[in-house]
Amino acid sequence: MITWNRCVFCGIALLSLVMLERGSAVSAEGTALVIEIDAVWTEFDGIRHEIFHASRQAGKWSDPEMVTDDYFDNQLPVIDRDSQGRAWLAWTAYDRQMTEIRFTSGSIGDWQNSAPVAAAMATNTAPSLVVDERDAVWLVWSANSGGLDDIYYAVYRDAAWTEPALVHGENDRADVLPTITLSASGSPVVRWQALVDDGYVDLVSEYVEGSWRDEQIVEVAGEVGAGDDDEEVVLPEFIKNIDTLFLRIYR
Amino acid sequence: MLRKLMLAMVLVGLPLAEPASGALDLGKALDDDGGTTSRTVAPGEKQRIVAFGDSITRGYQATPYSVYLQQLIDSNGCNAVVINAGKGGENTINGAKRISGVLSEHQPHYVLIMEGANDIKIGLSAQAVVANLASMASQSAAAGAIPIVSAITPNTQSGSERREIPEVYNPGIAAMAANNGIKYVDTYNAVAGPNWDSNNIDGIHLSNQGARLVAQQYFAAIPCGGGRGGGGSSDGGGGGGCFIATAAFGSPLDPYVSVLKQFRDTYLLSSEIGVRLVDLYYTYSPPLADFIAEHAFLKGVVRVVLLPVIGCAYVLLNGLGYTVLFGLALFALVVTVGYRYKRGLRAS
Repeated sequence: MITWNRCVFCGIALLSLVMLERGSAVSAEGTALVIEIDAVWTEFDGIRHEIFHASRQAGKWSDPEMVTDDYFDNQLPVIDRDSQGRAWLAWTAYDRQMTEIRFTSGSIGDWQNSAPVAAAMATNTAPSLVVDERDAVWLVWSANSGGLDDIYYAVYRDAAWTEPALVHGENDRADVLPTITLSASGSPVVRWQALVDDGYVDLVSEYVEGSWRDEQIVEVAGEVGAGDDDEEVVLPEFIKNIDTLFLRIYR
Repeated sequence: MLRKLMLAMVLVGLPLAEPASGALDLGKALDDDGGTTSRTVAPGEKQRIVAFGDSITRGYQATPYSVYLQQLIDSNGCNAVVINAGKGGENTINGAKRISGVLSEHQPHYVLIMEGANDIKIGLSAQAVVANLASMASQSAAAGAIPIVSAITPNTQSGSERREIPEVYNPGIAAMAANNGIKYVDTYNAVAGPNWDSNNIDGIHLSNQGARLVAQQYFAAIPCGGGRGGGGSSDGGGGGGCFIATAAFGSPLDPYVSVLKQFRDTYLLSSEIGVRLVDLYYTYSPPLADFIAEHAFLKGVVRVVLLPVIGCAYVLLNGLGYTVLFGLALFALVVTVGYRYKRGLRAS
């Protein structure tokens, strides 16, 4: 479930996008790392935007570190961790009128070189990811090749991404802004917005037994970007670009 | 000094907005004058123009463009009211939902649509933004209003510009407008470039100066400002159309008119006093331009008067000023020396 989280920083109320997670990340030894929050955001490094990361453990934030250092203009980062505590990041990367989804994994101070999630579409944006209980990384995003957007997904398992495929059937409408979570039974659930008859509706689909179920209308879509208030998070001073901030709170 | 003199001379010859042409085929028929059938204006009724958008339209720590547009309309003696329907933080998804209520409430004759700046932040693709803007335009037309869509203005909030705006989003919006016969105003180029710093207050929201420039773009697109509102893009680079010179030369695409427009954009709109002078020009020149356009003899006279002005503008724009000055100085020197030599010969 995505909620907007009201954050208090120096007495000023701020808003950030928060993903509520099912439990704490654990170390390889099985002991809790007590990673409470992962924060990813973008900052301008003088040439273009790069992805930055910090995490909070036992109430203390780590120093910010730059995860990317390439020639793309990087935006919209998202993050989750697997059962080994390894962090998985995905974001959009813009260069010369093309936008792709790129990813990396690792931990503080030890990130793999970023790489693209190969996709045939020219425009790929708004990624969302979640790691399931078997440590498969589920990634969804909206994409198009000049026409209307569709929702695509790919799964990282056995050291490779599956071929991107549609979450829904072929259609003639705009499908945008997907988010992916896990159901109570652990199966991936995608929620997105679709433009139908000059209005947007919320759609949802669950991945069951190897395929996505037919989409269901959840409700008439509310305001995009609005949501319920949740716990307050005091942001560290070094996070300046709140517009691009993504927080994953582990419980 | 020379630059101020050129500025004063060129101001006289500032050119005119070409009435827009093209079909608005969102369910509307063309009338004989190339305009569109839409909500009619009853005698004595104020024409209603809704400015629909996000916080850039609403205005943030500066005067919104709707106020300057109203001033231009009032100064031009048109019976129209501009209604600000901007909402802070809105993206095109929410705008496509909200616009129907605004249309019902105000029943406008024109809808000025400017949204998309917030969409880039949340990851909405250019194609989705275009689809949503098309939806808003379609809803406007279905409600009897003529939509006019705008480019997305620059975003440098994070320290650098989001290049996707001019490279992907705005071309898509312009193409959608052209394909549907909708008027498109290039507010991006009106405020971007070397003057962007003075046209914004925080990297995204317009300053008073920026808002004034956007107002001029929209003014040129509506009938009061010489546009017809339907189809085509608003000509006129940074500050909208040009009046008197277009009336004299017959087309906004005339090369001489283009030189004057470039001069306006490069020199006049880069200073506060220049902007104020352009405002005054747009306020008082349209009736004069109309009069010139109807009299062939006057067209010829204005062309002759403008030619040296255009020449000076061309020289300044192309950095030939110093070359010409040097040439004139050299010529003066040669003439002086030659004259003195002759006098010397006569004396001897």
